[in-house]
Amino acid sequence: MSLLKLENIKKIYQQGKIDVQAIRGISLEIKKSEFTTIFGPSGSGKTTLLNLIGCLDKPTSGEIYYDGSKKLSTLSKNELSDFRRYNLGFIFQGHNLIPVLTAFENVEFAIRIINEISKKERRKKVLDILKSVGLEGLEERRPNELSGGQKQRVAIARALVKNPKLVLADEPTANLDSETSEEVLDIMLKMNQKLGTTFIFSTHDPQVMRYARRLIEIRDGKVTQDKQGEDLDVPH
Amino acid sequence: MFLTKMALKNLARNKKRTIITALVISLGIVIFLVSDSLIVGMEEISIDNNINLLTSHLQIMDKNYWDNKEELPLNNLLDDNLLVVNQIKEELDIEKSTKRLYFPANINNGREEYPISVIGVEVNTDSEVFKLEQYLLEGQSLKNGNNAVIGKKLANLMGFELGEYITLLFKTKEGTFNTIEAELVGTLDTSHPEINEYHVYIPLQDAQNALGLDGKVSRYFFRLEGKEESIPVTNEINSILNRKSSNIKAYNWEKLSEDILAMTRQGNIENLIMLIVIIILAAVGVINIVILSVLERLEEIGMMKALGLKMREIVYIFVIESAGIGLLGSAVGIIIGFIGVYLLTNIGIDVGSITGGETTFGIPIIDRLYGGWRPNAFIFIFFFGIITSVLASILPARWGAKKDPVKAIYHK
Amino acid sequence: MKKVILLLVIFVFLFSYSIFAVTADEIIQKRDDNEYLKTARVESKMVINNNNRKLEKVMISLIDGNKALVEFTNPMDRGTKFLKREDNLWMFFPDAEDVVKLSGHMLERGMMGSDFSYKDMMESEKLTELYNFEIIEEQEYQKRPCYVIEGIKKQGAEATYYKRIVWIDKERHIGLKEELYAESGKLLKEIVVQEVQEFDHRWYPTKSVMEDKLRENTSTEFIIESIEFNPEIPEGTFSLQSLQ
Repeated sequence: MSLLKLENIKKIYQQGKIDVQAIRGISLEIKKSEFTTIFGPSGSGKTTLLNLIGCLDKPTSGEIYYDGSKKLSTLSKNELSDFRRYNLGFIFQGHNLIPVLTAFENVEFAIRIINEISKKERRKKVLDILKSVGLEGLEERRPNELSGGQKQRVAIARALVKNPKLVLADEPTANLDSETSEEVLDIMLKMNQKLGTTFIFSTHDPQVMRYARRLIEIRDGKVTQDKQGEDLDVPH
Repeated sequence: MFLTKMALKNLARNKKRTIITALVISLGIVIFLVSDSLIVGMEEISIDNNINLLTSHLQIMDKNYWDNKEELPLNNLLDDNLLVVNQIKEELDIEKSTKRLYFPANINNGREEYPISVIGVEVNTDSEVFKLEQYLLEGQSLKNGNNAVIGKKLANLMGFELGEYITLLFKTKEGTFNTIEAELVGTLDTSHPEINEYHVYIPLQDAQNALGLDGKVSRYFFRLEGKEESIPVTNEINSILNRKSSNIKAYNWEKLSEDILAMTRQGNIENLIMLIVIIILAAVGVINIVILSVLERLEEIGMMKALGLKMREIVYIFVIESAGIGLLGSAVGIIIGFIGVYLLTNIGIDVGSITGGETTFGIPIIDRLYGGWRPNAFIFIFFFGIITSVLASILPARWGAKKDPVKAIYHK
Repeated sequence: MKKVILLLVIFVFLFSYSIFAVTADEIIQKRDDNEYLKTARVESKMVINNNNRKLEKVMISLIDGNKALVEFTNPMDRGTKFLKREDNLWMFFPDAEDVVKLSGHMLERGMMGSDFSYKDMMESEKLTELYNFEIIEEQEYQKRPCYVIEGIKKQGAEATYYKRIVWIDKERHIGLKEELYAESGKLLKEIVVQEVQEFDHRWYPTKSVMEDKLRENTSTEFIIESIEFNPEIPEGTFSLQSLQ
């Protein structure tokens, strides 16, 4: 079942007087519970594509549909905020945690602003997700008391705690060593399998590609490869 | 609530900056409270001076005289041995009273004329009510006979020396010119510019004779135990007077000090200037701190937007943070201000040496100035500090919240 | 015979008494009538001396009964106008382009800085109603035979000066000198006529000097340059509109 459909998306940035075509017409369909890797070198347009999918940016032309029918171009800024609040999770290159909040509070943030469940339930949810990313016992630590990998796990927990339909991760391992990177990706994959959350993450690191279940390669703002299952030549 | 808590936690992120900004606000608040206290103190002094030198605690006069009293008219006068006055003094147990006759005149030194107010005073009772004698600079106080006491400034202006004769030119009730020549026996240097420059005191009898108003006075004056008594006593006197259904009415010093109350309004203008200073201090501090925070936390803002926070929620975070700074600054300011005002009211400041005994702010001043308390000022400025901080933060917070999330996240 | 003599004495006494009593008022009235301009256009000059400073003011006055319009023409005051109607006085300042009604204390100031107060210029009541006049002497003054008449304010009368002593030319009915006193007896002002001229079989003072006796070295000369009797005065001259 299609969760997300991109139809001939283009994104042009104005750089001074020159128009830079970051995305030159991409059409894609992502199904529910897919674990998709977007691969490409720096400057290929991966981040721009993720930002467009994450409603942080608007395409210059083309349309993005969620759940088959929801047209993103018709939503106002506030509606987009609400859409993100309820449906999307983000993991960034940097962890972007709030330094004055503990690990627990940083994760809680994401559901605190949804306000649909009781305090008790909320607490349980946060503790569960922190446990499942392997941070049990570290809940009360502040970001500066955590290692890089631990911080990124908090960020993953924050993205997942609200059970989003889609988690977008832009180079989640970029600032991590290879061992930690694998830990993080293991967790993401585990969560994908456990919760059925759809993941899209970008990377330029061939090392990471072996975690891909579907691999989309982008160069110069265009999809150059889109392979899954047996077609993937990387070992799992 | 969560956002509020987070905003307040943010206060601790850059403690130095928060404290400095809060202290700037505190400084403004201390300045305001101290100056307000001084203004209250000055009001106090000028009211006391006014009572001692000009108004006394309460006066009685004809109702119609009251309406035109500024012109010192010669009609609607009172008899100088009113029975009801004796009755009032007896019934209310007031001992000290006197009476005066006022009229406008020109003082003349043979070369120039200068318009002044002449006050005919009852020589043996005036000092029971008024404290003019304390301010006698040279010579002696008024006695019976052809003599006058005038302000030092007026004496200098006209070039009069003690022992010389001053000439007063004025019109009687019938509009006919008359003159008085009186020996200058004393000069006054009071804290009241009006007395120093515009008043000429002569014996009541001389004034009555020259005006053809024998047995008439403009007003009666009373000194009570304290100025707090003047309102109840005034009311009691008025009920006695009403019983007699006379045209005479009593007025307390507050009613008589309208010009001083106008000064208070001027004091309020000074307060307003102080408030503007605080607004500028607080606003600059707060705007600065919000801009710095926004720039520092761009990634965080981007992340919060990605999480789905709306613009107004992000604005809210910064505004609450600023309110926290305002609260901190106001609280500290009020504590320091309290100490400052306490010192001012109990120890005072030596202004005699600063001003050389001249007047400042147009308000009469004595050697040592004491502050006064005005609890409302504390309450007001506390909230004012917070509200100013909040208002100042809104624009820069909006600027921050408007940042494009993509650029905010990837600004490096 | 005795009776006749007695009668004569009484008669003479009564006659002379009545002559004197009536004469003082009459003389004053005659002077006032003589100096009173019913309808005239007067060009005059005021020289104000104040401690070596000298100010000259030139004016043209139109007079009709108790109405008068005065316009200053010297450079400093050009365009300043006064309008008097009965007991009211208005002033127009060209700089402020505004008409002000003068009243109360303002009327006691010296007019345009002179020793004449506005009030002095305004007195319109008959002097004989305000004062009890009495001939106190006959005297030669300025080589003219004069009556010296003293007027004391009547009880209750609202007159500016308590006492005035006037030297009136017996033949020409002009006041040649006048002294004005305060109630205390102090001499306040003195007006001395320095030049007289005959217009139309009528003697008129053309130069007089007023001194404020309370202030040294100040005096105001009032000089009439020309008088035109019964001139044509356009209608509306004495309206407030004409001031502007």
